[in-house]
Amino acid sequence: MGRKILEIEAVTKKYKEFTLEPVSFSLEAGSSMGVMGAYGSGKTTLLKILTGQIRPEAGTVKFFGKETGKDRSKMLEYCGIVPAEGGFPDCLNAKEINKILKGCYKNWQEACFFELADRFSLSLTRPLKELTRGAGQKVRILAALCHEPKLLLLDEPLKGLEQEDRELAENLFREFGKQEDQGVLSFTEQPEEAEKNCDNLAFLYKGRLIFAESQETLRKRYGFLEASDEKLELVPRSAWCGIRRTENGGCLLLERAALPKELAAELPVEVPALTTIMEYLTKEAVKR
Amino acid sequence: MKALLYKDLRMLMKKGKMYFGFTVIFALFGVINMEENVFFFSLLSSLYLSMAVLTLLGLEEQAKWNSYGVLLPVSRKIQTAEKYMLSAAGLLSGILINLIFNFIGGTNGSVLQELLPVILIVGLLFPAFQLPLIYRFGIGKAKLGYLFLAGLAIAAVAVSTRITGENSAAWRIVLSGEVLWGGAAVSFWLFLVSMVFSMNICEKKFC
Repeated sequence: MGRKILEIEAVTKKYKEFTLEPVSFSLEAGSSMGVMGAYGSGKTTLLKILTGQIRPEAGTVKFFGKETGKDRSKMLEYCGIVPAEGGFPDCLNAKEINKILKGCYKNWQEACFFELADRFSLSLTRPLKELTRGAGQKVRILAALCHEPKLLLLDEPLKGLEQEDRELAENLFREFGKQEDQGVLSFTEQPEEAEKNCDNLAFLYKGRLIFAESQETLRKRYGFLEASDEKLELVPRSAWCGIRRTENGGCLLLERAALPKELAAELPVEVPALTTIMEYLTKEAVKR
Repeated sequence: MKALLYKDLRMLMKKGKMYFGFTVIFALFGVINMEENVFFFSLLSSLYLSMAVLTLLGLEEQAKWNSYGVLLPVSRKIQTAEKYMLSAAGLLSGILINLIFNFIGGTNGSVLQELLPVILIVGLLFPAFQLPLIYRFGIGKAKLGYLFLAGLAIAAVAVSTRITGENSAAWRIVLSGEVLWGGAAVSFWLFLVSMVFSMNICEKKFC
């Protein structure tokens, strides 16, 4: 097992109309995790807790085994963050932004910034407002990558980018996440994006953490069965995770471990798609 | 802080040229055959550059810089203090430009000397009241709040002038050099208090 870069233990946060229920998961060095969830699921709240912008009601966040919050500036030195919103005023150009960031980060890598700006075809001298809509996002990505961070915290990092730039950014993040002592935690509304780019997946739904595990484990754990009522009734209730009734029977998401071996061989249990797992684990109407 | 000052200066050079322009133009008005208006023009000219911070904050609000700046390894306190420093630096630059123009124009230097505490009072009180309002409520609401406060202050002066009379002993005392310099010192103190207040607002709001 690799060294843990990030450990989140029973973190909670309460607002008037929203509660983030205890969230616990960890991220190992050399891996990436995609935190999926719809708008209002608690992704931003969790990211704000991780970056020390808000304090959780309970729970702890450890970065390389040490609790964050005590020395926030130091923690931010080691985190590359691409927030969903906010950035440099668009009257500035990339060259000026490089100079500003050089003064903010101790380990700022100017050469890395210029090299990536070139790869992203980002003009150094023209103000951001004169460039394409994705220019601001490119700058945020460059800023996150070019100060030798250990952990990337990405909130919808591909938003606003054109296809070519999306692929480049995805490759950069993937490469980063594979390095020893580095990791990527990416927040997204798009399950396909997380599935494509991350080894581990977490899913937040209305402030509740539904799962947080490796893609492999997730696929091994769950099975999908579309069958008649009689066949569905053969499956022990303890294996049921979610069901959708149809005219002739139903579709069932089940936990393979709770399925008797002889039954597993007999029933046409398929590997479910990620979106199916997410849908069946959360739909109140189809719960067991 | 140097990096943030650089950022703001670059933004000012691109978006705040008119502030430099007005500072120079009004400083010029103050020395060209307008002896009776030197007070008004020099005051106005000295204040323009310190007001440029408002434009910067407006641009930052537009770009949602606060959500981004909070993720840089520079504390919110330093980021807030930097705006106060910039405002003070703007005020001093304005005064300096006026001094230079007065020196070149050969106008009566004592007028500006008498005016200096008034410039400091207005120039320090303006950001001292305006910046916490901006940090607390955003630039749109803060402008309204400031207009209300400024209106209140003007009304208070008008009412007291009406009660005591324009040339009353009370006003002569208020406008005497010692009292005005005392006022400038109090303004400076309020400026520092306001900075600490704004730092706390930002710390609570963004961290």
